Amino acid sequence: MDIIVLGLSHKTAPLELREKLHIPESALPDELDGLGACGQILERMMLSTCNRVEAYAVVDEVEGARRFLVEYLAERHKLSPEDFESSLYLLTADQAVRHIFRVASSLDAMVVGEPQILGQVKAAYGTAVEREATGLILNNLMERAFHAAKRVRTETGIATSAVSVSSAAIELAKKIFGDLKGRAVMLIGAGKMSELSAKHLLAEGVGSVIVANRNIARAVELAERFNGRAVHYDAARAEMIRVDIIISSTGAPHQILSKADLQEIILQRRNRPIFLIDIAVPRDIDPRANEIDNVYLYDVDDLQGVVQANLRERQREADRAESLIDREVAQFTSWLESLKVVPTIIAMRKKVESIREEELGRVLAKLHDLTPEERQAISVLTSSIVNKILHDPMTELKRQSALRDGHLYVSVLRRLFAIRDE
Amino acid sequence: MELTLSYLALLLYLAASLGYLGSLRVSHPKLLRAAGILARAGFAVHTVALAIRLYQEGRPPGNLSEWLSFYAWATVAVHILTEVRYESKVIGSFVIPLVVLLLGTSAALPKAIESLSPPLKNIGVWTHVILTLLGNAAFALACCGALMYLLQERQLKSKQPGVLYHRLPSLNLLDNLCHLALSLGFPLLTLGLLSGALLAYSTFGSFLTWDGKQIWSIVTWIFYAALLHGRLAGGWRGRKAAILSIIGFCGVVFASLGANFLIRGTHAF
Repeated sequence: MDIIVLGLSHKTAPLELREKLHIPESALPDELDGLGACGQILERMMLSTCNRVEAYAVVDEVEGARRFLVEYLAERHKLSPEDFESSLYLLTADQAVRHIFRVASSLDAMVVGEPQILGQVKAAYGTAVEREATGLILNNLMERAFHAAKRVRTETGIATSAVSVSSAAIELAKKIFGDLKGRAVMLIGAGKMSELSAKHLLAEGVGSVIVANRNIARAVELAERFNGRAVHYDAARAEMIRVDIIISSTGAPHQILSKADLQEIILQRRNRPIFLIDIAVPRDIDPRANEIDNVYLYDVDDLQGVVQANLRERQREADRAESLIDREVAQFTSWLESLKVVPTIIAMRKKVESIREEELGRVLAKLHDLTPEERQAISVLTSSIVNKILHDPMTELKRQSALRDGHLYVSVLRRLFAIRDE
Repeated sequence: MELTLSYLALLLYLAASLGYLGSLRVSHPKLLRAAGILARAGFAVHTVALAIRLYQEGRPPGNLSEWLSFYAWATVAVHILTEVRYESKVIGSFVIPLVVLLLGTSAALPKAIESLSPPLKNIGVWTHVILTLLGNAAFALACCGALMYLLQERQLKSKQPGVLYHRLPSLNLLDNLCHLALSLGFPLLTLGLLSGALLAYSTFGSFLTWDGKQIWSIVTWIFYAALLHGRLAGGWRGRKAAILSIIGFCGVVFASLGANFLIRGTHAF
């Protein structure tokens, strides 16, 4: 009995191929049922996202199950095995467990730490449970995977930093102003980019939006969409004393704000900090304005730089997450180990023997008048009672262990007799 | 007993510091929470130790070692209040190591007491000591807040945010924290100095005895007065105000530790 992962992902296969093998949500139950026809596959689930198509299974014999899976996928997706076999990876035992844990924890993702994958894995598992395609081992495995994912999320900062330009801008604004509620933002230029940025800021609770544009009609139109106010381009300067965030994206061929302008503005603001985002090319604001105290000026490259730095931060946190995953994998494999028959029989005998010795000792300590022969006879008697009781269940357990559901018997026996995992 | 408790408190603060500093490097909420619990445990033990000392001796701190221990305690007290107020635990990464420094110095200094003259065991001394202690504790907090502000500001200006960028709170919060600490600390220090002057008048017949600590405290007071005025009236904020808060605290430290060794006077320490 083995746990296997067979599949392909963004790391091994191009989008073209992933598309061809993609399983739509509606087709998933059917696909799972089809896999059930294979005698080698005891438990199964399928995960299909835009970045990966993977089968997780508990199988009797790895090679047979692999062959069946490949042919099955080829047939269902009308491909020939050669089309995708070179992109497939097959993982077994510990490696398969680790892979599943890493996928659920978003460590194997294209953008490490992206949060959607856990939901997708949960949904895929849910479907498999509905189709009764899972059993003891896969159920436990997935529960441990979700647990590991939760720990990674809460105990590492893997998902805390912004990894897109617009979210990086929001993150910076929050690091300057704290809460963005009630803050005022001004858009200079009414292009698509500034509209998008304003949308993001409003979602964060920004209080008011002012749009300044050369074409006042366009400014009014955009301002209405955000419940904001339009001002003529020439009046923008006066508003800069009041607003907290300025997003500049004019098509002007020259700078519209010099360092001296901002020095004056910051003085009139009585040093209240201002966050300037210059997304225009060529730039609208003199980059040297960033040297002024309480002025924070970021252009597109700067924001990109923050994204890169955040990605590195995520990678550092991901490294910590890996060691956490190691521990979770070790815990799961030790549970898996406990499902083996021989150690269970030994543990069972040990437990029963220790009960026998303890009880025997207690009784013999009270019976002082017995001869050594009588003591010996009582000891033999207890031994044979214990052995006779154990004989049938142990024989049956050994017989079952050769069959496919052996681990179920082991699991139940361990539960009934309270034998702990070691 | 009381000394053992003091060492235990120091140990707890030290453990808390390690947790706090560790959580600056890696994002680990459990570590941060543990550090917070350790710091509070340290505070509880420290409180008991000081209470025993007060009960046994029935007098205000009588040497530099005792004063530093009270100072460390007041700083933790002010810190716990701000932690609750700002819901930001990271401040501890800066305050608690400072507390360890204060209490560690206290433990290392000689414990002997030059006998206090009887007139100094009155309510006037108590008022003076408590007010200046709390005022100075608030300034310590302002200094830590200012230090964090400068670090975060550098992260934002450099445009290459590192680990601290993610861990430290927003500039706005830190600037508010500094402002609150200064506006609490300054009136406390003012009242502390006034009560000291009255005490000097009733004991020595003069408001000012010109010892090193008095002179230096007045210098510090003027400095903080100017800083607070600048913040309120002149719109000083951000980096410059933060640097001034740190300089001001250096003045406090010098007034507490150094000034007396230069010109000895009516302050026993």
